[in-house]
Amino acid sequence: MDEQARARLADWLGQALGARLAVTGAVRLSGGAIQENWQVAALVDGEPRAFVVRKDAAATIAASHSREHEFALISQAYEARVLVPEPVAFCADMGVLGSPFAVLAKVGGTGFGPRIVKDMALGGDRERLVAQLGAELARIHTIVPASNKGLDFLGEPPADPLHADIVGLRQSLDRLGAARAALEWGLRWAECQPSKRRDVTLVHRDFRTGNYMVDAEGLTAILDWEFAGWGDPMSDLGWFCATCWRFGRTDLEAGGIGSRAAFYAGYEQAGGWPVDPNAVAVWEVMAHIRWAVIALQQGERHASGREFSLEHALTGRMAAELELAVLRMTAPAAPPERSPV
Amino acid sequence: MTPETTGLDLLHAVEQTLVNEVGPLLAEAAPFSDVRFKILMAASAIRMVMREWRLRDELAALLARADGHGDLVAAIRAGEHDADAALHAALLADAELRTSISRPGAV
Repeated sequence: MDEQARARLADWLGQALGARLAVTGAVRLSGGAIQENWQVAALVDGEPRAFVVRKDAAATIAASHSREHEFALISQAYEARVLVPEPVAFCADMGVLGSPFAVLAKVGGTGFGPRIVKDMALGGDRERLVAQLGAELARIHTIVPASNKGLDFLGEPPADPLHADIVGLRQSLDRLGAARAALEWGLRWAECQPSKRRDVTLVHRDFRTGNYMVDAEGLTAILDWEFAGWGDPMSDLGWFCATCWRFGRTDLEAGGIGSRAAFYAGYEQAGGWPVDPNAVAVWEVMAHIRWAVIALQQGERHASGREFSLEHALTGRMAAELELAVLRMTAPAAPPERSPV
Repeated sequence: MTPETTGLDLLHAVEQTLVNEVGPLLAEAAPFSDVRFKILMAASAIRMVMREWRLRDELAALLARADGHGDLVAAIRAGEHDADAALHAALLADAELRTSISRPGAV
């Protein structure tokens, strides 16, 4: 971010906040070819504040929509008292930084999944942390289509979220031209499970270890809202508990960090929906299938020659272990033993 | 006969050089850098290639079977294989083989 860009940002953000604002520092945080995150230090009416600016590296229309939608989702979550970085302002004017961007309050902590699972100095008491995560999820699930303000871009809520996901994943596999019999087996198994109808709520769809931040005391923020949509609240519980998101600590069923009981209790006590363990189990199988499809899509980006990336190539190979997990969870019931005559 | 270095030996030597010599150098200089992460990924990819080479005959047979899986996909979706224990066992064996190449620890 050069001097002129900083000055334009200071002008625009000052106006948005109705304050005198000077940018005192801007450091690029992370991101890749698609997205840029900047940590911006500023004096707002003389008071130091830290912001995060999230923008797309290149101004593509599809991608700019995604930033605006993400800001709308974080704003809704903030209103529902979910622990998210405070949404400060969104700028659609390409003239300021070259592409639309969102400004959020800077939140401390670390989000790297493998580190959170291993480093016990982080996150405070682990059973308390999973209960707290359950409570955050309960608050996300209070956002329902009827109370929807500004989430029209999410489209019509599906009548049957499980069926909608099964159809969507089959379409993704067809688009990839991937004949993956193991994933098909898992999708058909899920389709045959008895299901109870539940109200559709906002679901995060990527609520897992690696997508929240913690410091030494506990949780600091729920991140990564770009997959959120209307769905079955039990799907978020299944995604969080799925073995593939435990980062090696398979014994700790809630995200590799705590017990399932504490997570469920935290969810229900904060006003979440009654937990349906059977539905969560089906969604755990679906989590492995969905992650396998995403892995195949990433692998295809490399294999097709569109985007050279060793990381994508290796991610594609993860589909095998995910398929193995799906098959192990969906074995046909053994035939009943013949009772002695 | 003079012992020859096979392709597999060479790959092993590259992998060991990355892990034992290049990796520690970077761990000291830049412990959380992208480059170090990429070196570890490269070493992991090489180990995968070595396992794939050793299991090449089994893998070729698997891929030949998978060639006909277009019809199988349609049949599974149509419910023609619901609770088909023989198919489940065959798919499980295939997934175990693929995983023993990509991540043996998960088998």
